[in-house]
Amino acid sequence: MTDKRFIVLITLIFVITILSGTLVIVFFYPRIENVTVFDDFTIESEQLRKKNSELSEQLISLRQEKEALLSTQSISKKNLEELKELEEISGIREVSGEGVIISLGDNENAPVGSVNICHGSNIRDIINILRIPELEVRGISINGVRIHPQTSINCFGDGITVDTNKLYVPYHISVIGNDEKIINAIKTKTLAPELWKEIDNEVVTLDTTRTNILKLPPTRTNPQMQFLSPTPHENP
Amino acid sequence: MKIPKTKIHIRKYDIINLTLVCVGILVGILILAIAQHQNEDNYTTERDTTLHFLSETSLLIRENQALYQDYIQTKESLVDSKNSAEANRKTQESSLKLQALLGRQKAYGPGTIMTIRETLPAYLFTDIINDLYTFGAEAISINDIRIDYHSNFSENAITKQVFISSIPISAPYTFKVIGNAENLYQILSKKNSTIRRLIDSFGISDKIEVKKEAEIELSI
Repeated sequence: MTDKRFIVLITLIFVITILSGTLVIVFFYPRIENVTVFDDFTIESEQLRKKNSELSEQLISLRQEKEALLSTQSISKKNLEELKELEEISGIREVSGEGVIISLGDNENAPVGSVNICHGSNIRDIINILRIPELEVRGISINGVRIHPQTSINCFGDGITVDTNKLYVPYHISVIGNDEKIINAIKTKTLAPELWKEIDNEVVTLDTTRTNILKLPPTRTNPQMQFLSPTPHENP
Repeated sequence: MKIPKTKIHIRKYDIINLTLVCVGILVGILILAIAQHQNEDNYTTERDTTLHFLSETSLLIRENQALYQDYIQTKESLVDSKNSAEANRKTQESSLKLQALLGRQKAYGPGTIMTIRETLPAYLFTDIINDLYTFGAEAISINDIRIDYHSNFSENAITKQVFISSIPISAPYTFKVIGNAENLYQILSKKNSTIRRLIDSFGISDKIEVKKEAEIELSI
């Protein structure tokens, strides 16, 4: 074999090795249902958000229509009251009453850095406190986004996501419940030691405001019950 | 005419060939490692991850499917609402489902069971539950204590005893999770997944067991 042909052969082997590595990544890369690795995620995410927002509004409108229809039927008052209470607790129905607004934000005096801002874990610690039964909490929203029993709160860039809603500081957590007990619980350091470390280190600021009139909208994304059932499945 | 093969000639080309093949393999591994790193959610603090855009898209898709299903069901129920008997039945059915969701009624469904045989701090339970809901959990219990809208995690500062709404719990912790069994199993058993990295930061990866179940029962 000549030198030239040998070099061509070596180059070919090199290129084949690179291509093989790339093919391994493409075919064994984990896939999300209906989405491939090479799709434009940003555009798809925004389109999905828009679609979800439209569906959510249509759903709210349909529910109002259903409620109006139900009021024309002779339905047991007890059944209706029970359903209404359950829908309020699960976030599906609007709820109003007196309560507290808890405001969390970044301390402007804290050194610049991604660890020195208010994070999703700070919000989760507050929500954890609000779950105490004695506080009589009937509804919670964060910057106008109602939460439900399956709500997840995560960091996203320089903000947080509450389910799929992107929110930024300051975070106003509106709570309907026993305002005095709520404020006392929030200020009890032993109930949220991790949060109070951040406050004492002047990374995060916390304020509470009592309010007589709070109105929390229904949740935009309902709790999911695709697999959950109140009765056992036949032949699981 | 054949080129006479000298010992020096063959060695030179063999070395070049071997070097190029090794470089090619190394570059392939590097591409794989970079792709793997980009797929991981990034931790900004010990307890927080920045949701990777793949996870965000997955959440949006799930939300879209759930909204669409709700829309169809609500539209169908409009028809039922025109008949009193049917409306009453549907109202009771909806109440029962919500009671199962809120922990006032037993809940059934497919899912995953995760057992952790190591003591964990209270705040980690908040984070694990959050991650489970992020990845599709619909109902959860820990050591047969149902997690609902009144479940609060706390810890005794001195004894480090963890409580769920004043009920003490100790390791091993059995998380029973109802949801998409396959998805949950993947998330809980993959060592570089968000939830596992959260738990593994305590160095207990060998003390975690995960299994799928066709039907899980969560008590009240």
